[in-house]
Amino acid sequence: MGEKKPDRSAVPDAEIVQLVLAGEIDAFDELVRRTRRPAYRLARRITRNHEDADDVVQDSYVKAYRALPRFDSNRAFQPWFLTIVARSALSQIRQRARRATVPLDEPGADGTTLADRISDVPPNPDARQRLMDAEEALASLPDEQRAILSLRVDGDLPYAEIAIALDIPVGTVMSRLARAREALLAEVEKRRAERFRRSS
Amino acid sequence: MKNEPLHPTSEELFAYRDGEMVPDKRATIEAHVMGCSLCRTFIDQISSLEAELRQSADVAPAGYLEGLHESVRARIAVDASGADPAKKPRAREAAEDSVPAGDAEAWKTRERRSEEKSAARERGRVKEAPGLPWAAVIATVSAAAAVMVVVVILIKQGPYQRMILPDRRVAASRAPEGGAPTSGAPAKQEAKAGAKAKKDQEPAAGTEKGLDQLQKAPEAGAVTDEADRDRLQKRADEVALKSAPTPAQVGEVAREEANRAAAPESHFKMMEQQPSAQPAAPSAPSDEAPPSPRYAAILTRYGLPPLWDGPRVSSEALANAERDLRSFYVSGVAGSDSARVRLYLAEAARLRYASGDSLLYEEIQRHYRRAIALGGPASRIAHIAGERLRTLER
Repeated sequence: MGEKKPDRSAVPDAEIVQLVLAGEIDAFDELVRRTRRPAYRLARRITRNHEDADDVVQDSYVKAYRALPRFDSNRAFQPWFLTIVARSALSQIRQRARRATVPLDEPGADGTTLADRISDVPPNPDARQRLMDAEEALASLPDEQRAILSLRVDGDLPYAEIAIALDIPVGTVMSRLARAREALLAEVEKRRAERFRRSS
Repeated sequence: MKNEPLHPTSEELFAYRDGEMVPDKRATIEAHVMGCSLCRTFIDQISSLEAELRQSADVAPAGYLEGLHESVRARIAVDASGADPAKKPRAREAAEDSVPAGDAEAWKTRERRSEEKSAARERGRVKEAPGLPWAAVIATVSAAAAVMVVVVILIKQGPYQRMILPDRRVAASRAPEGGAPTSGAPAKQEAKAGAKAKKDQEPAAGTEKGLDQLQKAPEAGAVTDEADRDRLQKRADEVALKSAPTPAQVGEVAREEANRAAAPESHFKMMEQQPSAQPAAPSAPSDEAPPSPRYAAILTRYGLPPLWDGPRVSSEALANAERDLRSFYVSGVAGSDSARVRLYLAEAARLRYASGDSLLYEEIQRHYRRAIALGGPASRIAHIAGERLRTLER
């Protein structure tokens, strides 16, 4: 009969890290559970396909595991980990920079379309369309802009953490983030204007 | 709006919205936003857009996130097998440099550096550049790769060869005669002689043997200019093939360097050979580990062996199995079967590959590389995938 694993859902990150360092490997599962969703979202937004996102997320956990002895227990684990994910994801997309991007309407490697892949799709057609506009606009941005927006939107990271993740000064984070947001708004408005023009 | 001098810049508005504005400026911006509907609308627009994006992020395939910790465990086991960071402090330092600093001092140092860079940019509008060590590494490797490529091209191009080697006979004196093997000279010496012939115009001390051969060649009286050139060209091609990396290899070096500059992955690979790091690792899955029930079911359905083995795998079965294998992998529950599945996916993709399809080519490469990484450097999977990768790149 398998031994029941202790419930560590209420244990602080720092204690979990100490448990892992003390040899309780199972405790690392808890860190994975806590961070897997934002990590995957971030990786998927940046790489734009599941296979790469999966590679990035798994690689990032391995890197984090090995770097745990240097983790500052005064900090939260998630922002630290998300910077690793962001770096790995950017590395991944740089490696395949020469590859053509897959059009958003085409099924991804897992055979799903963008509409299939986004969660919480509203039943209202207008709201659904707005959502699709936002997703498509974000996906159409250059890699660097998409990455910095994802770090802010999905990772909810402060500017200082984004600066570390991208290895750029905080001032550059401010300006890049502003440019990315402006570009996102412009893309969304372009799509909505185009649809309005077609329908009228 | 940005051009309106009375409004804050969009950077300031966003920083205010994100709670990142410095306190002394914050009050000023806040006072403006409270009284400016234009700026409020601008902030509201981006806020609602980001709220939508937060709500609707790409979802993972069913069951993927739930099984992720199992896959991660398997990866950690593979990665940590046989690691001992104490033996290779440099590798550890390198990894430390690429993973965000965890301790407060390092954090402060980075922030300070970040602020200094920022100030420099503001003062001199300095174009942003990567950190010096990374730039140096990239520049060095790029230069080396470029030199290798140029050397290969020069060797292969007859006209360039003639431009560089005005006197073919001097060149021939350094590159051993083609056709018949010369006194068992190893390929390395031939390559060196060939490369040297392109660098130097003057005979060097170490080429006496080649000179002897040259002196003998015309004496034989059977070598016309045309035949001589053809032979030289052939020899140069052979030397180039033996000594120069393939374009794929050059590309790989560049990719690895880019990777090293951007992410700590390669540093971790350096550490792979060391016994377990401070956190103890779970036992590594073996090549011969029995397939998981779901993987076994796919294998049985299509009559495939647990590990791809050319002669035993029919193309038809593999093509039919590809979709199921992919779904299995994508579901995130492949765990210790991941390396074997990636090898199968590489072979399945290879069945569809036609020369010139660069996208598919890179996909196949990626599958092989992942199979090697997932299987571990000493595994049978890594051996097979490595061999197959080499045949692909040839």
